[in-house]
Amino acid sequence: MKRIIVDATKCAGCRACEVFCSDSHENVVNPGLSRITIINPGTLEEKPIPVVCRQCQEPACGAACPADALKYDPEAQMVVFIKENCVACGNCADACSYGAITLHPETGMPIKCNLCGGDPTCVKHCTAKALTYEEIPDEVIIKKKRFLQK
Amino acid sequence: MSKYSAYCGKILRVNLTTGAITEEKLSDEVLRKYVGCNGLGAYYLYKETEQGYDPLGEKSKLVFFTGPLTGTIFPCAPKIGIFGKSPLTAAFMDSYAGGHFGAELKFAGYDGLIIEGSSSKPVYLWIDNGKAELRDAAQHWGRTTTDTREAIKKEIGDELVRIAVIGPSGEKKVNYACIMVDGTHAAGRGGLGAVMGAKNLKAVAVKGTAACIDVADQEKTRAIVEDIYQQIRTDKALGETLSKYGTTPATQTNNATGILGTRNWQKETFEEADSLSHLQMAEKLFKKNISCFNCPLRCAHYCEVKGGQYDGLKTVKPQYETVYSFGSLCGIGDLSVVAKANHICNEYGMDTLSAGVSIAFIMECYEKGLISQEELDGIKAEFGNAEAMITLLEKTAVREGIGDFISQGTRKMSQKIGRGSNAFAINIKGLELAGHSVRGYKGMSLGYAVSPRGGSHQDMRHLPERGGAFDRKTVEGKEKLVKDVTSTTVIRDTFTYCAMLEGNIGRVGLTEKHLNIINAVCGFGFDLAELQEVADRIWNLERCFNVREGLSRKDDVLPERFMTEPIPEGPSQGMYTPKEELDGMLDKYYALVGWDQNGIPKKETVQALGLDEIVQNLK
Repeated sequence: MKRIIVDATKCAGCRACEVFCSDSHENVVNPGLSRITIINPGTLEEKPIPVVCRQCQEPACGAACPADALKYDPEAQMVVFIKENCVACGNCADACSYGAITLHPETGMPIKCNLCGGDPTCVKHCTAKALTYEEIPDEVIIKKKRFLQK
Repeated sequence: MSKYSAYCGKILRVNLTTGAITEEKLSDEVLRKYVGCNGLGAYYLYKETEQGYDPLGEKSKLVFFTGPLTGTIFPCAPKIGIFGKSPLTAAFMDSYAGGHFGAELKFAGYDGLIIEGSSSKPVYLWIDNGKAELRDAAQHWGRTTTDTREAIKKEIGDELVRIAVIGPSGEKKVNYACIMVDGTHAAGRGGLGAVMGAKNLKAVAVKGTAACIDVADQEKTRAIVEDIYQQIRTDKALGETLSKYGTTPATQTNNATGILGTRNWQKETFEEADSLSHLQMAEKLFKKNISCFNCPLRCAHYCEVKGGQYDGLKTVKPQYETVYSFGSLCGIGDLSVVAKANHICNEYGMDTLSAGVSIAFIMECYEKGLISQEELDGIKAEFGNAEAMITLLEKTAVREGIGDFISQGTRKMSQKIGRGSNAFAINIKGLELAGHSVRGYKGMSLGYAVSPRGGSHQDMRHLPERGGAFDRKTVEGKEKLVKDVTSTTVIRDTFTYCAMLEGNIGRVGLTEKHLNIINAVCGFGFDLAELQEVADRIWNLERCFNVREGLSRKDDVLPERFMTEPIPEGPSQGMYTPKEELDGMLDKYYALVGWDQNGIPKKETVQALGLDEIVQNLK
């Protein structure tokens, strides 16, 4: 299964990921409509952190959803959003401990990463390579390997 | 809503005297004539101010504008342009900063701001997604730029707001005070920070998440953007050099060509250039890339100084212009000192170029015996004396002692010192020179002379001549080169893409590339002749602003040093631009652009560009 892997140490905080995500899924640019978000609390903006859905196999968002609108799909190997079921209660956004779900400002429904059908536009436009799209059994193992390489 | 895409279609007008804040629509007709940032800034500033107004007075205005590309998927176009009459030059000034402020302003729903009047007490402007208010800034007055930003973020309760702010130098109206944007970027040139300080406006804070920016032709825009990304991925200069070194490879390039301003331009090679090199900077200063909004180039750098006197200093890494102004120009070969000087300028809010050139001027005056150690508060201001440079800079930042004198800039200082010091007061129209030689490029000689700002390297560009595409040593055809290059820089600042993208889009003359971008993004349906007219209109309007302020051919002049002293050494030895040579180029240039022999745009030129509606005092 493939995941978007974040290496925050490489992120320069340009937010191209937000821009291209919004453009590709919503046909306009607005960072508030992006499935990925850069949080940058550094005094000189030196600490950007990309936040994006981790496609949990036991997703807290799904467990919190009263309408069966979010669940892990073993075939697609990601958490899928079923718009028809959504009641726009916002429980999913509260439940995600990574803050990876944004609510649409007009519909109140979750704005959630769907990996762009297997070719994430955020990854394509990340020249810093802070975002990569990788085949992994376990995200933690990838990060441990990277740590050893440093 | 505008009928053209990529605009919010409205601006915010803030009257600091009355406290009134109002929204205004941008008219489609004005958008078509002036297009964006540089164009709209010049238009509103000219239209709404009177001849001879005091830049630090009640009638002064400060205009902020974004461009149409900002907030779209178009990369490397984050700029916010700030416009006003400069207290340093008493002429038109536009200064641009990167960062995220411009995009945030658009996402908050505004293409621009017009700040007028002045507040009786310190305030800051807080813009929150279509709402705006003035807030008390008494507690922030006196604070450095970083301290102010952090305090405002805390007060608002959101660490992700974007802030443009002045430091103590702006409050105290240092003639070259800057406006810091987002901590890493500066609208540096021309003292617009002093204009903000005179208005008692400490900062503008913005939160924008509401407005959606669309483009006219999504498929074409996407195709143009993918082409640029493809180049960034494959071109070493764009894709790798900038992210590793920013603009700093210029130090060694210029030194090797013999055009690196050294010891107040007494020489143009610096024997310690290697210790200021981009490689040394990468090793001793670089910590991490920082990026402007939607810019994959990442040329800004967070810096932690390793070694030297200021070991451990955490700051923003200087770019080339600052390495020139505080390095070679002051005879300093120590990067930690350059980083410290840059840090002082960022925190107090001063232009690193004018500050460095002003100190280099003082150093030459001291070495020539025109100003004594006693007059300098006991400081031995010799070239290469790092401690003296830092002390003078700290005094200048708050106008203490001799710093009050230095804070006026080289033109006013030389007028007071007299005794021939005017010959080496390195400014054009009062604006201190950037780090690109006047004498070493004939095109730059002419370009600097006719620049509305003066000593700026962002009107005329040095790169076509430095790169060898045009012979830097000949005057032939330079009038045409200046016209073609300045057309692209005006359009660059109007669309608001960054100078780093000039190589991709084109530096010499407007082309289909410029045209395709603006038509795809905004849907103007321009042809190339119409786009050229937009560029000419803006360039002429800036000129008309200066003519209204009394400027003419007499001000299209170079520092005397560059017209009388040949470069004494190095690979460009012997080069200079005598007054007769400059005059010859000016004659040809004025004829080419439709100005009379006194450098005043002719009535028919102004009329043909549709400027006669707003330009006053037409002869």
